Amino acid sequence: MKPSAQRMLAGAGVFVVVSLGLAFRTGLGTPASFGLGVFAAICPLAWIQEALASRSMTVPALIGITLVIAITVVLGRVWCGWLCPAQFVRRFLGGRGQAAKDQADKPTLDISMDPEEVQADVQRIVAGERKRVRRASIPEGSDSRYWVLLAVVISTFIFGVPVFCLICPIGLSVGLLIDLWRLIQYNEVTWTILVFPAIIVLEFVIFRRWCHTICPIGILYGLISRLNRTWRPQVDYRKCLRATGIDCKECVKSCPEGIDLHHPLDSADISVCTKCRECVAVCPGSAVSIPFLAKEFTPSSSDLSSHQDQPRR
Amino acid sequence: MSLTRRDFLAAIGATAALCGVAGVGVLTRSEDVPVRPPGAQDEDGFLSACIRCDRCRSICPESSIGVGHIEDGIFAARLPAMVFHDGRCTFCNLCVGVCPTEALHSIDPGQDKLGVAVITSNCLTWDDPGSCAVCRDVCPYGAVTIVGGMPVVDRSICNGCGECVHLCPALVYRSVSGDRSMRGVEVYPESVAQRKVDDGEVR
Ligand code: SF4
Ligand code: SF4
Ligand code: SF4
Ligand code: SF4
Repeated sequence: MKPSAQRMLAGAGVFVVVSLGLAFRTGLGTPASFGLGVFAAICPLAWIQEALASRSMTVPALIGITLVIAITVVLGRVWCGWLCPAQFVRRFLGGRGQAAKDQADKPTLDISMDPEEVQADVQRIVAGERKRVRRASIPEGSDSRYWVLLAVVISTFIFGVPVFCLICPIGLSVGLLIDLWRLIQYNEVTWTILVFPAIIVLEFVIFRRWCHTICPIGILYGLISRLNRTWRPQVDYRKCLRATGIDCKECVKSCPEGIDLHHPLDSADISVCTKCRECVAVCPGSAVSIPFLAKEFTPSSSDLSSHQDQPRR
Repeated sequence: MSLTRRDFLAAIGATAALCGVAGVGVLTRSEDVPVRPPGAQDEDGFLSACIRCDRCRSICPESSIGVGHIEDGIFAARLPAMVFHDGRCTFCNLCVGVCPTEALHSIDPGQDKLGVAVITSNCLTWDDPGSCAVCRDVCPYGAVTIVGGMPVVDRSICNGCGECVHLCPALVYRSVSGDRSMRGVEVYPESVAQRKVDDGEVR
């Protein structure tokens, strides 16, 4: 099964669990809070907002955020890759050409080398010398998702209401399922059934790269994932075509997050990896794997901050 | 890290947009607040704490918790609200136990209130006094008496459990929109009930 199909299946599982909570009295919850009794993971953005809006910190919420941090430290940003309903929205809006469109939208990493350069590059990497090769053409300025996160913090504090929850595409898609269910079960007619999908579509039409430019939840998971050391994708240079001098960039092109496993310091940081497995699936030499503990460590800029040889952005 | 013009615009734009959403939320806030699950009677406090996770609605064994809709305002959508047409609250505290943010609290049904019941213009005894006394018969707290063939709720005893609404026979089958029609007796938050009584809408 293709990784994208596996991820769709996992994402569908979220809706199945919510449906179980509608059909039976499971109380398991939704992505905002999910678990049994007080042992429930909480959406990290919901946690921040709730604390700011109510100006208080509660024990169940602290248990929830501890769980989320623990899960994310071990698994990384898997929420975004595997579970978030955004994958369905993007597929629905983008149709068949979505993959190609994502490709065109992504900031490119135009590091091209001739065969000798490629081989020298690989030798350097294998020798453990990771350094910046060339600045990638990542757009100027910092990641806009941090600014959205800041805006959520400010607006939530001012208004005393979790503001992002009001427009959160994840919350709205789950809310839509709940309202559709109640329409059938209780004949409860509401405009919500039309308004929620309209908001979601609008968000993803205006911001085609919503996940990569807007979503504050995704970047929060990315921040927590800076502590993640397990299940990082690694390249085996005994199999990688680059070791033979071919300037293969299949894994780089396949990565929706813009990570270059060969030059992780020039690309998006490895901490935003969603463990989506696209790079593993696409590699013609089967050189990419995602082991529990990588032998050939793919570094993030925070791992190497002690010997930075180039000025940081 | 140096800040560019683009960063500045992104920060301002995002803050303005979210404050705009919240502002519309404030403007569309309805006075007719629904009855909230136990311990969420302070509406502002509830709005700040509830993360709309749906766990309380899911776990309620009486199905008495429903969800709010966008027509009641941007803040109201997805917020849990009591829908007594489907069942009463037994104060079992299961919802309180699963709430991840303590937006709900256990309350003492002998002291505290979810809301209070009022008799609406749909009560069958308006047309035909003495024709119905279901609410009096079912109230677990003895808050309803029949005076002159018509029910009267003692609002100091009633705690808003919703059993009378659940079982009131008026307008049960006549509604198009399942839950949203008014029965002969309805529970409202105390302040809303008081206003409706003062306006002569209900008694
Ligand atoms: S590095 Fe590989 S697993 Fe990680 S996000 Fe990119 S394609 Fe997916
Ligand atoms: S206390 Fe029990 S019956 Fe009442 S709303 Fe909560 S879960 Fe339902
Ligand atoms: S369990 Fe608490 S946070 Fe979740 S919807 Fe109910 S009141 Fe809101
Ligand atoms: S809501 Fe109705 S049944 Fe419940 S205490 Fe009040 S009058 Fe009695």
